[in-house]
Order: sequence, then C-alpha cells, then structure tokens
Amino acid sequence: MIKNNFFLYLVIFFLGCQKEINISEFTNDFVIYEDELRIEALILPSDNTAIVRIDKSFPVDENNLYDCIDNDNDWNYYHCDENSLSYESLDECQLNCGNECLIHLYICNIDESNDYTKTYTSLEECNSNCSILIGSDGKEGICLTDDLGEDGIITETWNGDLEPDQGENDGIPTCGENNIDEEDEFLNQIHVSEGCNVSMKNGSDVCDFIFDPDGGFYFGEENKESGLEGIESIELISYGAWVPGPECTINFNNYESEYEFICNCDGNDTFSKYGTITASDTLVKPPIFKTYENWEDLNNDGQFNINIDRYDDIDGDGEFDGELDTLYSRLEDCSLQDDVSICLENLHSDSTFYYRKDSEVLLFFASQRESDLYQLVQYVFDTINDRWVYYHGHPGFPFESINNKINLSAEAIVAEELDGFSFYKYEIFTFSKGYKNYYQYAQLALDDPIRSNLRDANGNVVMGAFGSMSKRIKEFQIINYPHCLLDCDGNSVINSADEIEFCNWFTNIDNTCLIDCIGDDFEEVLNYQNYCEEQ
Amino acid sequence: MIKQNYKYILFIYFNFLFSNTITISGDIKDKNTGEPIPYANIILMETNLGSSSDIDGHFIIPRVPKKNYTIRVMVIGYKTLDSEILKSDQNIKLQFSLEKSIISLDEINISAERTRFQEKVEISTINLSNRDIRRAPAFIEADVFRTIQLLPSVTASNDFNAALIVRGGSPDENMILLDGAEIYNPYHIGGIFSTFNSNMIADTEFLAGGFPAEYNGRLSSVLNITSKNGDYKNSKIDSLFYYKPIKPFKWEKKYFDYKLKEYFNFSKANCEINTLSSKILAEGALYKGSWIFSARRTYFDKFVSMYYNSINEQEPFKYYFWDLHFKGLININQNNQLSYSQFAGTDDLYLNLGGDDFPGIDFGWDWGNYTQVLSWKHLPNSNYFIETNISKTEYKFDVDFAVDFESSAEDDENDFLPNLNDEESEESNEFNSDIEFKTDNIVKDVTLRQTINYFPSEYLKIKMGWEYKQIKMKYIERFSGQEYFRLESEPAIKSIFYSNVLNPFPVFRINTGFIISDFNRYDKIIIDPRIGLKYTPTSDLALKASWGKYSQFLYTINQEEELLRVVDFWQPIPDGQKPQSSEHYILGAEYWISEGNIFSIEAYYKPYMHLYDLNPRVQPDDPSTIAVSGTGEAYGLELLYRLNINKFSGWISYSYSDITRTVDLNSDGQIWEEKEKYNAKYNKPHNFSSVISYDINSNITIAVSCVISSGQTYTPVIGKVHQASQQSYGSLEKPYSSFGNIFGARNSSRYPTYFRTDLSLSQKKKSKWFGFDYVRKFQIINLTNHYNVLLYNFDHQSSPSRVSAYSMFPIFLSFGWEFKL
Repeated sequence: MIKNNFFLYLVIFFLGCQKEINISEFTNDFVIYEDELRIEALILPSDNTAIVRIDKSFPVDENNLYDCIDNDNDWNYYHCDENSLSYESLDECQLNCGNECLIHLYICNIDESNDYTKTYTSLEECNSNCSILIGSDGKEGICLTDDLGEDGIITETWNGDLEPDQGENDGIPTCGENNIDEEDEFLNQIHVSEGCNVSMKNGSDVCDFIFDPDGGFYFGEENKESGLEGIESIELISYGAWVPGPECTINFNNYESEYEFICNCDGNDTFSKYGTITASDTLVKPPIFKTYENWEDLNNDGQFNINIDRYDDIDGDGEFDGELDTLYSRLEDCSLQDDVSICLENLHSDSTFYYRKDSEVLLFFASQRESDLYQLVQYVFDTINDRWVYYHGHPGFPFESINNKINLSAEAIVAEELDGFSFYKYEIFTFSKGYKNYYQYAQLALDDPIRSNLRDANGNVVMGAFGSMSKRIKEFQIINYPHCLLDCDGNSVINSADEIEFCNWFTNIDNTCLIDCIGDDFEEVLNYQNYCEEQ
Repeated sequence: MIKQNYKYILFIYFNFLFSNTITISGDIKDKNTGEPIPYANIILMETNLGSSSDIDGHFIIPRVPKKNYTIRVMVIGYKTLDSEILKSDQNIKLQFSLEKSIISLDEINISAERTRFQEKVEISTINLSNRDIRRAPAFIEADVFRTIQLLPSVTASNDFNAALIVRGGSPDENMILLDGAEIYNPYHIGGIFSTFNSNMIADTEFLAGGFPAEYNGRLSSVLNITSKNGDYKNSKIDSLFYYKPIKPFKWEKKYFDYKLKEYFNFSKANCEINTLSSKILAEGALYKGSWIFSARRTYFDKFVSMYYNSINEQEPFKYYFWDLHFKGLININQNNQLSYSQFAGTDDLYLNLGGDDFPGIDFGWDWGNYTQVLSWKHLPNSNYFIETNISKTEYKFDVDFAVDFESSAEDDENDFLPNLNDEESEESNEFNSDIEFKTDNIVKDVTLRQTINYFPSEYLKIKMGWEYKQIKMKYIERFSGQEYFRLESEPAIKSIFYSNVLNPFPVFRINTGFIISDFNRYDKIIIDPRIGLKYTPTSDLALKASWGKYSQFLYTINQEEELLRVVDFWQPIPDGQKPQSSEHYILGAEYWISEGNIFSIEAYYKPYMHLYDLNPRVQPDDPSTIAVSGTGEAYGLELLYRLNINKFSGWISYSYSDITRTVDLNSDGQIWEEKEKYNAKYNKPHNFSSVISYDINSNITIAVSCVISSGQTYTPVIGKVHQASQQSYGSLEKPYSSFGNIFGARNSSRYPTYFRTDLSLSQKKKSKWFGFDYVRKFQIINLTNHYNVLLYNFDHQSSPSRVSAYSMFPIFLSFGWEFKL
C-alpha cells in the first residue's frame, strides 16, 4: 500500500491540483459526533506495575487544541529592552523588568552551542553581531530562530529571496512554526484526569488508580536547538496517566491469571454516559533470549548473512550445523516438555551479548506459541548523561513454530555504533490477547468489537484496550576487535567484555596466527597491544 | 398459431434427420486488403437459407438441398456480389473477395450493427470498432478502456484509473482477452492508459453481463479484443527493393521475385506522434498469409535525461513504457489456418531521492505483460470448424526500495534497475545499499483450449469445447536480503463447456449452455448453467432476457479504497474455499429506430454469493488468512441511444445503479450494520455519459464527450484521537505521536458530482512536401476545468482540522500527428 500511495502522490503531483476546503463543508459528516473516551489500560508485569491512559477524542472542528502560542516558552527568550540580558521565561523576565518584556527571536549559535545571553529581536541585528563571532572550530556564528515558517527550515528561492513559507521570518512565532503547539503543550487537554474511578482486580485483590500528571513518559525527537547533538539532545516528555495509588498492594505479575479493569466516570459530565466500563484479560509470559555460548560461535556465527533462507534447514537434515541448530534442538526439547514455560525459562540467557562491530547477526528469542506478535524496542546507553535513550522500535513476528508449542523469532542487528556509543539494549515485549488485538488489527475501526475489549454498561464498545505487555531485556555491546584477532585462536573462550580477561588472552596468543592482521586490522591490533601493555 | 408452430417444428425435425443436403461454407474478405469481413449476409437466392459471417469472415450454411443456386453476399460498404453455384453432391467451400463501394465507414458499421441486431442472442453486448475508439476524445491518445468507460454499464473509479467497473463488479471480475489470451494487468502508468494500442485493434466486443458459456472464470464482464490480421494485398516491396534503373541480374530477379516476395512483403505503415509517445503500425504479406506489427514508446524520460545531462546532474526519476504487438497468419491450405500473436509491454519507473544531508533512496519499479498465442483453425469443407489454441500469459511486477546512508552521486542508477526478463537474477540480485526492500510478483498462465463450432441445421448452432488452464503465482517480499514473506500457488482449472443457439421460430432465439469446472483447490465440481432468450415481435424490436451463474477462481487482493491500480496482486481462492460466484438476471429491449439509430434499455440484478477481499485480520504467520469472504448485491437500469443522424454519430447513455457489499471484515461471525454492510466504493447511482462526433466536412471531425455522475463514495472522518506512531505497537514509545482519524460508517459519504467534458478535433491533410496523408489531432481534456475531487486529506495538527482536496485531471491540452507511409 505504501507503494501505491507513493505512486498516487506522484501522479497527483504532476496531474492533479490541491486546494483547501473549509471544514464547515463537512458538517453533515460529523455534526452528531460527540467526544468519546479512548482508554489504554496496560499492565506491565515485568515491572510489576500498570498504567492507564484515559484520553478523549475530538470532533474535527474543535477550536482549542492548537492555539498557535508557545505555551511552554521553550524557545522564546525575553528581555527587558534591547541589548539587555535574556530570560528563559516570561515570568522570570517580568520579575526583573515588570511588564515591558520583549521576545527575543534570534539566538547566536557559536561552536554549535547557543549563547542565550546573546539574543536579538531581528535577523539583521543578529547577523551583524553573530557573524563576526568566530568559534573554536573556526566557523562563524550563525543565527537560529523558531520563526521559520511552517516547515521550520529557512530556505531561499533561486534568486536568494526567502522562500514564501507561511510565517517565515515575520517576527512572530506563528502556527506551524518550531516550538509552537508541541505535544507537551496540549497533552493535558486530551487527558481525562478527573471524575473517574479506575481500578484493576486480580482475584479478590483490588488496586485503585490515581491520576498522575507525570504518570508516563516517552522520548521526544532530537532537539537541535538544545545545543546538544544526537542522542544527547533527545528530551524526555512526560504525560498524564492513571497509575496505581499509594494503597495499591496488588501484584501485576501473576502470569496466566485473569485481571479485570473497571472504570467509571460518573463524576465527569461528558463521559458519565458510559456507566461502568469493564474488560478482562490474562497476562502472558515474556520472551526468552538464547544465543551463542562461546567465543568461537560468536566468531563463526557472527559472520552469518542474515538471510533466514540459510536457516531453513534447521533440524531438517537431522544434523547440528551450528549454534542455531543447537538452539533449535533445545527449543524442540522444550516443546515436548509438560511445562513448556519452565523449560523456556531455564534456557534463557541473562548475560550481556557481544557483537563484533560491522557484523550482521541475529538476536534470537523465543516464546510460547500464543505469543505471535512482539514489539522490539532498542535503546542506546548515553554514557555522558548516564541514561538509556530510545533508539528505535518496531513490531516483530515469529519465523518458525516448533511443534505448535514454541515460536522462534530473531532480530537482525547491524552492529554499528550510534554517535560513538556502543552499549545497547533491546526490550522485547509479548502481548496479552486484549492488547495484541488492539495493535495487530489496526486496519479495523477503533470501536471494532474485535479490536477493543472494553465494554460500557450497555455492552457497547469503548475505544481502546485492556491488556498486558511483558518484556525481557537483553543488553549487548558492540566490540571493535578485528576479525583477524577473533579468528586467531578458535579454541579460546571469552564470554565477557572484561578487558583484563581479554588482555590475558591477548598477551598469550600465538603470534603466528596474527599473520592475517594486515592494514587497518594490524593498526587495531597494535592499539590493543599498547592498551594491554598499559594495563 | 399453435398448429402453425407445430408444423414448423416438424419441418425442422424432418429436415434435420432425413433430407439429402450439403453444406456450403466459406470466407469473405476485403478485395483490397485481404482483411476478413465480419457480419456479412450470405443468402441463397430464392430460398430462405442463409447465414452471416463471424468475426473472422467465416460462414457456414448447413443442410442445403442439392441443386443450382445463386448465392448473394451483401454487406453495406461493399459491392453486392452474386455468384452461381452448380448442383453438387459434395459440400461446397467458397472464397469471396468483396470490393469496397464508395460509402462512408459509418455505414459499414451500421451494416454490421444491423446483422448483430438480427442474429445475436447475447444481451448487454456492444461492439466497438477501431473507428469508434479513435473518434472518442481521449487523454493524449485513443484508448479502448477510456472509450468503454463511457458506456452505460461501466464506470471509472477516477481519471487516473482506467480500470473498468462493470455493473458494480471490481476490476478483477473482468476478463480481458487479447486474441484469446487473458491479460492480467492491462494498464500503463498506474492505470492511466490501457496497454492496448488502438491502431492494432480490429474489433472490440464488450459483454457487460449475461455472457455465454464459452467464457469462464470471471463474474462481471468480458472484453474480447481482436487484433487486425494485416493487409497482404497492397505489397510494395517491388517498389522498395526491386526498383533498378538497369535490368537486374538473373540471380537478383530470382531472389526478389521468387524468394523474398514469396515469404514476406510490406504493404503500408502508419505513424503517430503526440506529446507523450510515438507509435508505428506496419503490415504486409507473409507466406500464404499476412503480418501486422505495432510498437509504441513514451519518451518523457528522454526529455528528463536531456535536461539533467545539460545541467550535469543525476536525473531524479525516469519513467517510460513501451509495448509491441505482432500477429502473423498463414493459410496452410484451404482447410487450415495458423496464426501467432505476441504482445509484450513494460512500464519502468525509477526514482532517486535524497540529498547531500540525506540518505540516498533508490526506488525502482517495473511491471509488464507478455502474451503469446498460437492458434490453429481447422475449416473443413463441412458444417463445422475447430479452433485450437495454446496461449501463454505472464504478468509480473517487482518493486525495489533501497536506502543508502553513504550514497554518492556516482552511483549508477542502472545498477539498481532490476531486469524484468530474468526472474532468477532478480531473486539473487543484491544491491549495494544499507537497507533494501524488494517485492516480486509473478503470474504465469498457460492455457490450452479447443472449441468446436457445429452447425447441424440452419436453426441450430452448437459451440462446445474444453479448456485446461495452469497458473503459477508467486509473491515474495525481502528486506535487506532476507526473505520474510512468500506466497506460492499453482492453481489449475479444467473445464468443458457447451452452448447452443436454437431458433425454432423466426421470431425467437434461445441460447442455452453450461460450464463444468474442476478447480484444483476446491473439492467439488462447479456447474454454471446459462440461458439467454431473444424475441423479435417486429423486425425492429428485440426483447431479451438472460440468466446465468458465474464463477471466478482467482481474485486480486487490491484494496477497494485504492485510487490507482498500479499493480494487480492476483491470488487464487484460498485452499478449500468456495470460488467467487454471482448470478446475472437481465431483462432488456432494443429498438432499431432507423439506420444506425438504436435505443436500448436493460435492467439487471446481480447477487454475489462469495466475494473475497483483503482481510484486515490477516495473521502474518498464516498466509491462508489473507482473504475474507462476503456477499454483495448490484442492481440497475441502463438506457443507451446509439445515434447516427446526418453528420452526427455516437451515443448517449444514462444508468442508475445501487451496489452494496456485506463483508464480515473483523471475522467475528456477525455483521455489524454500520461498518460491515456498506455501499461499494464504486456505487455511483446516477451516471450520464455521451460521445458525439460531427463531421464538419470530409476532412474535419469534431467530437465531444461528456460525463456527469454521482460522486464516488468515501468513508467520512468524523472525529480525531491521538494515536501511537505506526511502528509503536503497545504505545509505550510514542503514545501521542499524532492525531488519527475516527471514521464514520463505511462509504457513507460522497464526493461532489463528477463532471467532465472532453473535446477533440481531427483534420485530414496531405503533406505538400512528402506527399503522404496525415491527420492532425487536437484535444482538450476537462474543457470546463471542473474541479473533480479525487480525495480529501485531513490534517488534524491545527484547530479546527484542515482539509485539502486533491483533484483529478484539470484542463489539459494535447496534440499529435498521424501519418501514413
């Protein structure tokens, strides 16, 4: 479908015309639409907690969400008068200057960091002051602004004029421009934070939820104006959600037992019409990780092409061809056990995995058969700020079913370092039925009775879902040992990234086997040699 | 009256059993070109016996008493030919060559139309000549699909989509035949054009419903395109090769006179150049037969290349299509004819995106159709003839999408473009990119078919035969060299059919028949009976009725909502599931007002029992869940007036229809009235269309087409709610990524009324410098520049939400030249 749409837009671009239509022309379509509830009630057994997002929908002609104002003032700096100091918030400015505060629209960026004391009201003024400042990198300072039109980018036409982008450099941050109407500015408007009683039950245990304005968080986009680069600049954005109250003692990790969700918004004028909303679901176990057990296998298997075709004969020929066949064989054994779950847990490897830089490898994981949908989320460790930062995520599916009891899947890992960081982790989730239907069947309407398991007092479908996502974490490190070195002593076993252990092995290695180390690899070996000698 | 009919039946019966008779058969051809003349009337004077020629100019008059006759061959546009036949104890086979009279081509069409009016039982059938297609205004060049879209039974999805929506059926329900071979994706440029070169078409028969038993495997319609045979009479090779100022050597004379000319000759060529493409049609004589060849290529890509070469930059995109069509025919002897037809057409699209600070993105997409048909026609000197043909059709598309994070301008885009002709090399092809997505889809169809046409008496015609169709289908998706999705199947359909036309009384004809099919993915035999009736109370009025059951074994899982039909993703019916089926109930009347002026009215009802569509609940690890089954219903009323008044010709039509679908989309075993019982996407209740051409004088013709129809349905957006990003299953990563649509009842709203008027002007001229004839063409599409909405796009990132409309074709001018050599 992506392809079809792509071609469609190409054709429309060449042959069609676009025009804006007033939303009032569609009044007949939405005139009877009333705000609805959308509830995402999610148990996270691996963290023994839960989170409930109760939000509302809007008619398409609502007029409040996007007010074209930088409500959280995360760009506009204020000053009392020209050439005075700037303040990051209007309140701070007014505290010092009274009500005469002006917006500074331009910041001088030198050495790829911003000097907030040098802010300007016009581009001309900024250019005249900033361009004469030379950073340590020898480059002139450049002026940054959020008054950048709808696309947030200053662009020029062929003759050097500014592109007529709506609001471009008009001196006022306007709709569609940077930092205006960001998610964190209007999220509080979409949350339903009052008038509801929210609880979950497991057997006779009940947990009441309370609304926390910072109940959840997620990672935002790269913030180029922060003066930082790459993952260091990624911000954490919090949102409001219902979380277990202080009196809650319920365990959220009773796997394979049923939980019930209850929500009543009788105290909310708009949503009292629903009555008591309920749903129930059963938790499922997280996946397990299993991979190479010794250095030799990492060395050999680490060079596998990631074409699953090559694994098609797993156990088909009755011979163990390598680590994957061993893994398959063990999973097959598990599938024949009475308690598949325990057997899988025993197979799980908690240790950090190591992947040689620039290799293409598969991270194998397995789950019980009922889990046939996974979410894979990769994080990178930002060693400068000592935090894990979201890298990317996507759904995953099994590629092999073993005796209809166990699903085997794999994630292809391209072992490259991001911004020089080498520590990573994957969080891989399994889904309970309620939550799986909600995401897997995204082609169905939000109020489809298959997609949502939430029902109101009259048995009508409520948008959203109640369910669980169980995760397992696998940390791994990308190591930069040259391949020739890894090939050198196939009998040695190194199962950690411990430098001392590595150096012990390295200094005792038979030098004749280093003859394959030439060029860059040789330089790399010399570096390790120096490093180990220093140790 | 009853007594009279009784006598009449007895007469037929005894005549059939005991009379001492012979069969007279033969072929009728154009004296000037050798092309067959269809729908000619052949009469044995002073008797009631006679026949009419078929599309190949062949006729049979069975059970003729042995005596002397004068046989008369009549067809408007040709001089009537009388010939004496002496009494014979043996069957007689005749060859007639008719000489053209000075008469307009319109009148020839009228003659053919009258013969069809009298002889054909089939309801909902319209034949379009090459001339009809070429006269209708068209986007850049004449297009058979675009002309058919102007008929009352047919609607178009939008200006960008040439797919035929026939009486509510989806485009995959139409059987598209080219010289007997099935075409699986008959479009160029994502559906803007059909693949057929109009110059090559001899006849287009379109059956919008109630089609007879000889057609199997489709639910809605049949479009049977027959290409020309080629002119083998006006050979010019003498003047081209044999002209010498001095007497030729003996060996030269021998070579040219007895060798080359015997096997190959050239008669004429026709070239056309327009703003988008050029095409050529050439024809001539072949050893005991004829040949014809056409080729077409667009050249927009060449302009793009020239421009980017001039500024020394890599071209960001490339698109072109080409097609070739060849047909050769050999008369082995008087009783056997062999023909070979080959068609090949390919579209190539390449895009290079990205920039200095952006990963290089290569996008390559090509798709095409290839058909080969070998036909053997056995025409014995008897009251039957047999047609045997083997056809091979291949349709494939492949899409490559590659991202290179360290792209360089030196990358050669040709390295990226996959080779359509080498399937294996495609599978193993690895591009030097960081991320690569690749999709291959191939449909290969080999069909063996034999048909026997048997004429036991003047009152009974029998057509029967068998067909074996073997198809291979493959769909593969790969990501970074890793194959993660593969669908393969080899459906096979064996079928036999029987159909007869009986006219026990002069005013009444009945066509009955059936098809018995054995589909290898379904364990029961499928029987599809069909019946058609025709009653002509007066010579100018025909009342028709038809009922039939229809089955379809393949379908496309293209989404109903799609606006462009770039590719068709063909699949067999899921294993063990019942094939798609429908019934046609049709009632109609045709009135012959005057020469070429025919008014017809038809009402139809078409229930669908099993329809397959893309399953929104598909299980990724279970390809058998890819389809979901449902039912449907379509009914309507159609009015058509084909006019021919003085210098005006064309047609005016109106149709009313209602098309609904009921599909358990969420597979929960219940029908959700609001979302699962809905108007079909193609439901356009009111549809008016007209095509009128006017001959200003013998050289200048102006034609205007006009379409006014209800807007297409769409599912309205009634609200908005925040949603997680597309890849963020579980909504932990980006729970409030963007606003998503909340949709209302499915297909419950309509786009504004569609209106489009096209105009074309053509002028015949003679070149002052070169002496050849040429035609200048000038066309305006959407003359009034009416804004026809293609789609609405909602942007919820503002308050209130913003809506953008995208239009279909705005006003568009094109021009071209066509010249003859």
